[in-house]
Amino acid sequence: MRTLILIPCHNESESIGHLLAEIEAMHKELDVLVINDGSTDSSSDVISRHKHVVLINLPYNTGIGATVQTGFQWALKYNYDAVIRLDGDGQHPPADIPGHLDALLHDKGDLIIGSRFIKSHEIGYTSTFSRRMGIYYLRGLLKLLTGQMIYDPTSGFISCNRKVIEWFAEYYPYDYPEPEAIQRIIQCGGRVIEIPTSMRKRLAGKSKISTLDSLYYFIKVSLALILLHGKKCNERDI
Amino acid sequence: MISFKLQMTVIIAALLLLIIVVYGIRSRKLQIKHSVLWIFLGVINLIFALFPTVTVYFTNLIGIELPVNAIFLTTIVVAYLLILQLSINSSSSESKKRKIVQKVAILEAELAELKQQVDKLTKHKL
Repeated sequence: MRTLILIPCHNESESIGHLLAEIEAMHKELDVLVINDGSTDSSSDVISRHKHVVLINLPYNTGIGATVQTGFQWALKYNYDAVIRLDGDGQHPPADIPGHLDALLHDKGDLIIGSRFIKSHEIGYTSTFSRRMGIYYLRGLLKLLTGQMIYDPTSGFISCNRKVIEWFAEYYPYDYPEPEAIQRIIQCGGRVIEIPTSMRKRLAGKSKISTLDSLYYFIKVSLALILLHGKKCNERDI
Repeated sequence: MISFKLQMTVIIAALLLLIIVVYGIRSRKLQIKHSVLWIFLGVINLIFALFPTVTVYFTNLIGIELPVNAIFLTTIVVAYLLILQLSINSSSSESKKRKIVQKVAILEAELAELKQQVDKLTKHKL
């Protein structure tokens, strides 16, 4: 199984180097692709010091959706069987990559979500109150629309097989894309499963989401989920 | 008060607008972030037309004489916001386009340079 580690990166110069070193130490056999989404700091220099890593520099800040989709297009072009995506800020521990590999290898699902909140695994990283409220809300909305309970619908620690790579390369939601992507996969007949993961505090830097931003985010995500509900899979069926 | 005819006209127009916007989103011709203001416009006009008491309250609140003018005012304000959003958008896509063009041009030059060097090397071997 040819597997690609996909890491979107926007201004993470303080944490990305450490993360890449960790991955290299633990998973030398895996190919690593970092998409630098128009960082204005020294991220690009830091990444290019890691010779085993393929680096794609986007010419300007395109947003998380377009950045991640670039990675899926690369995976499709270079015939990878699976992609594991984790954040450039170091919140997703590389030690949990084997869980994803195992789920992919045994074909347990098409889209595998590394989840912070599956019961008995709520240790480690605890989120702020408002963020937890937001996650309860998205859980409820997704459950209502898809019938499936997803405990951590905004997790960026996801992996997927070839079918989903093809589909994401074609269409991937642009703004804050995780919940919409999950909904589309379920509605197109894909199997979405969750595996437990721990979440670390950011290695460095601050989160980019402010309160006002998150309100606007919830309006947009809700609109997207509700208005796209029941849309047929015109794209390549999965 | 708002006449029944106008009420009906505004309701139909607002519904039409919302249908077009939803169709645009579902067919992926319209992005969610560009649809928020349109949906707001449709919904607010629908509320004004369906509940004239709300319109009258709003009219008194900001000192408009005729309730029907409240509908016009909000529509104009939202329309201005939409135009502003489009202007901002077009400015930013222009600068993004410039960056892409520059990057492509630089890549092309580098590729040509590389080709020349490869040609030289292969000739040497022959």
